[in-house]
Amino acid sequence: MTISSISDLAQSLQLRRDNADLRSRLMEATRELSTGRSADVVGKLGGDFAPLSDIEVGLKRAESFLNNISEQRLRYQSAQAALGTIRDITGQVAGPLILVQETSDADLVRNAARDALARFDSVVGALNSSISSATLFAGVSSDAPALAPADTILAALESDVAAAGAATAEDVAAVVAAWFDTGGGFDTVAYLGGVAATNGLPVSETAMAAPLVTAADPAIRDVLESLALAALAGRGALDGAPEEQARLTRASGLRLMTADEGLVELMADIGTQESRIARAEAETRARRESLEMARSDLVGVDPYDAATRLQATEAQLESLYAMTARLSRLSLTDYLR
Amino acid sequence: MSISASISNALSGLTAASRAAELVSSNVSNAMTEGYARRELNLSPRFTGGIGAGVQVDGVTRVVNEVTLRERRLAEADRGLVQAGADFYKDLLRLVGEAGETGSLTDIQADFEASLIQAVSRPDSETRLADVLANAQALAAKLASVGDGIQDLRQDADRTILAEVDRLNATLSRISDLNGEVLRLRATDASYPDLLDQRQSLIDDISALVPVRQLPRDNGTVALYTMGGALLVDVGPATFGFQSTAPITADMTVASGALSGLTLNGEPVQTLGSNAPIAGGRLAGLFEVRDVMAPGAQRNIDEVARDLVSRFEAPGPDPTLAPGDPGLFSDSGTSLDVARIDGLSARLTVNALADPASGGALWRLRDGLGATAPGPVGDGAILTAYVDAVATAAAPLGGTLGTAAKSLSGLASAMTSSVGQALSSQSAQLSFASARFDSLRNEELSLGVDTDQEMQKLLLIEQAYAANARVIQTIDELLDRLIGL
Repeated sequence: MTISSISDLAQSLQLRRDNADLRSRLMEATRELSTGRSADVVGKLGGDFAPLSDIEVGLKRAESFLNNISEQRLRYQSAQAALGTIRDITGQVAGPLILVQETSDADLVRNAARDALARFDSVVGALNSSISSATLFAGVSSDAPALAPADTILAALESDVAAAGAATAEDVAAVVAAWFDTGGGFDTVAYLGGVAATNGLPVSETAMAAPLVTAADPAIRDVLESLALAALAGRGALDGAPEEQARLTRASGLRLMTADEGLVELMADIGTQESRIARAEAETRARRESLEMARSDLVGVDPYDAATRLQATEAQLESLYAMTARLSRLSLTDYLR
Repeated sequence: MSISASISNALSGLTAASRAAELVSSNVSNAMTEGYARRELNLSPRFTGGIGAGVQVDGVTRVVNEVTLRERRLAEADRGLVQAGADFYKDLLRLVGEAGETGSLTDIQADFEASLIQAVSRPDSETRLADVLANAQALAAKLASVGDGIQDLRQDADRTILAEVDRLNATLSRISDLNGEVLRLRATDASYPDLLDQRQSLIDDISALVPVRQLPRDNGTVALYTMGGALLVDVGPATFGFQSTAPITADMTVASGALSGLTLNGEPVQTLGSNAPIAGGRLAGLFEVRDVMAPGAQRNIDEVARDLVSRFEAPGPDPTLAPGDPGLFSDSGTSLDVARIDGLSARLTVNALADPASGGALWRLRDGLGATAPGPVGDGAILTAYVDAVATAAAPLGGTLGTAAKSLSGLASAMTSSVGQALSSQSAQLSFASARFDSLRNEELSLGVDTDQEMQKLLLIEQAYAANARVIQTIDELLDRLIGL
């Protein structure tokens, strides 16, 4: 006669297996609740990590783009400030220079010229400004100053003027113009920086920020050339011919007015670049947010869901314990006393 | 009916009852023993000369469901096969790291890419360049550690195969010995349930390693075959041969002769594929790990290494390199040799020219590895080219990770996904095989000892024994009265 029964071993094995299963589910729910991330990512994604890793790489790239943007913005702002300072200086000094006439008092001329000399120094200083020990207008050689000291530049100009034997304001202006032209003394004596950078700076997945101009840019050369005319007069050029000196000084002021336009264009350019990187920043931030949302969609776990599951598993485990205790008491042996 | 016949009947009853009690005690004491088959006593009326003469003990039967037993053994073998693969891929995924985990392959590659992008902003900064170098070295080290880890797992599989083959051989010879003992005991007409228990548990031992088919012979012995058709035990045991190899490197295979295959009674046998004599069990699974799964994973990681090296080589983002010069990443200092891709991951190094610790200089990261002197400190052109080189989608050169164009990060994630997907599929198979095994085992165990049932039997036995003893007492009184006349 076959009476089917459950052997002791089978029963205990089943209870042990159920216990282990519930405990592991409990641990999983606990971990998900505390980290907010799915405990079994492989299972959730079916082993395909491509979307998740794309998100992670995208997020890391976005962080580095934002870093680049903040550094470049600082550079642009500092460059704008320097160019703004130069515009202020030239604006202030152009006025007195233009007022000089051929018939002006020698003292007037000399004062205006000396003022221009002092300002030339300031302009050179502004062009040598640096951020985190990298010169702004020195191109790729950012460890070098952009321009030689004002004294060196003017001394070189003076010796060239003397060598050419210039006696009129036009002659001096011609020598100075040749010196500031490409291939002249400016490239060898005055400009100490390197070539302009050829590569842009990656600031978003699609955009690159343009590098800054160097001090060898034609617009800046123009300003320096214009101011140098009066600065030379301030150092004593054409001292023997006060009329020529006055004409030189006045010519400097007039040129400064036209050179100002070039500066304005430069500053407008930088302004455009600043707004471009502001757009890139907005784009990158938006992308970062959407990537983070996508990541939580993929592997994130709703804390409410995890907490509910945790409670349910707890309750199940407790009832399993109660049942195990009950079943172990149900033995005929206990009753056969 | 004579009085002495009554006594002999009652005595046979007592014997039967005490035999039954012995069985109950044996069952109860083995209630927790796995592999113990519940004993039942077979009783039948005894006839001498056509007349009833008490009860006789026919023998002891072991309660075993042969069908369930056979199915359970096959399920166990299947589980062993899948478990070997699942364990391998689980370990491998831990080595490679899931996407998003710190220290995973994709994470380290993303750090490298990010540090390049930031270095373009400050090419003059030693800190940024040192960051790039450190991240490059971390990436090379990660690829090397994955490659080494794969060979270690191969080594583990190889060692385990040796241990299991030894165990298999020992068990087969013991089964054969038991066959011999069974033959002897049959000759003496004794019953031998303990030997059968032992034989069953020995066959269970090897059923996880190779799926076995048991054929009972008329003389009480069994012949064992694998499902693949190899004879394990008949008259004598078969012997498997295997040699362990240490250490194992990426280029060693069975075909090259560097790794040992399996021999059965001295003849080499196939170990892979569904036609192999040992197919379907843990042993076959381990061979598959060593000879198919691990080399496949090695090829994948070598593909990533190869892609990394060739993205930076000449002609590439660094214009200072001459043709044939190694780039930022090299095969232990030399450029890529397409004939020697196996094990490339272990030989991957960052070019010493860029490493101050190996006599190089950080400025070479900015100015090019072939540069003889530092260039302008603000020149980010080569670094920008590196950024582009890493992000460009190019078709992988080896083809083991697909032919679609991928960036470097895409290739790293393809490698991780190859492991993840393999693990996912093995896990699914494993959970099915485990569930099947569990349910068959449950069914098998349900025939085991139930102490409640044994206690109930004991009540009956007590009663029977008491009754038989009472009969003897009464007969004894009768005889006394007869003799005391």
